[in-house]
Amino acid sequence: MPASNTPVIEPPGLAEELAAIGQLLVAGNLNEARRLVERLQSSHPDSEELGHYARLLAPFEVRIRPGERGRTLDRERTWLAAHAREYPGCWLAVSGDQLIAADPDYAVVLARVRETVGVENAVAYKSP
Amino acid sequence: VSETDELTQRYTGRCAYVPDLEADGATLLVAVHCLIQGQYPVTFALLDAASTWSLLPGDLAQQLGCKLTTDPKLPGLRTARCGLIRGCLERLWVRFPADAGSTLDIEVGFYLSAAWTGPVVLGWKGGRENLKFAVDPANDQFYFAGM
Repeated sequence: MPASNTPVIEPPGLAEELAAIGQLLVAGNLNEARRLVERLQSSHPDSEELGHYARLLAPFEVRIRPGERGRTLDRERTWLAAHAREYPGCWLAVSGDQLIAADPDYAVVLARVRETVGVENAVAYKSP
Repeated sequence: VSETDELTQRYTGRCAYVPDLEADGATLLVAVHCLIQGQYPVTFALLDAASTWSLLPGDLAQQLGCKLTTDPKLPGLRTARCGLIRGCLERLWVRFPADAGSTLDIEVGFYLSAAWTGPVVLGWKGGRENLKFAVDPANDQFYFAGM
């Protein structure tokens, strides 16, 4: 990720090509962005930004977890359908039909869940 | 392959979803539960075919250990809820726990931004192309399989 505060001196033309990749990515044109990254990497193999985009655009994986299932969340779904609208802008943590925490800050809600039912026994939802 | 066979799709898992979740004057049509990066608690996400990228609220992304840096080469993303937001793209694992069949993990590209304060959104690009899914609104069931 291009997070360094150190200015990066790019070869002429690469900055424009990176901007073009960004435009393609935001537009959702991943195939074209992937082709452009691959083409540029041959001439700029040491570019960290191209490396980041290449990793981002590598084939996405899918894995089935045979036979693995989640616990039933019927009561949590029912509670959210009935009450989530009462907490606009808040993160909600619900366990069964009980509200565990409601706060705009996810860290506050997560801490409350850890203190009480534990993270595996709650569901979280960000109410817009 | 007969037309009947061609039209009969197969999935590896299914789970219930929350339909028509009302919030802030909007109706969130399909909210499915998932684990981001395999980490609890389970989180509800909006399945949004109108969103190019998937989105994570900034505070959740930080709790997951994601860095909310802004990629200077990446244009901002225009959103209906938060306007133009700036951030970076990262790929994360999303797990759909199954009520029946098998749980599925898929890699998804997320646009991460501290400015996104909306819900978790599963958009259309960046890994979601690998997810075959169907929605049964008669029974509020979300069917899924990898491709």
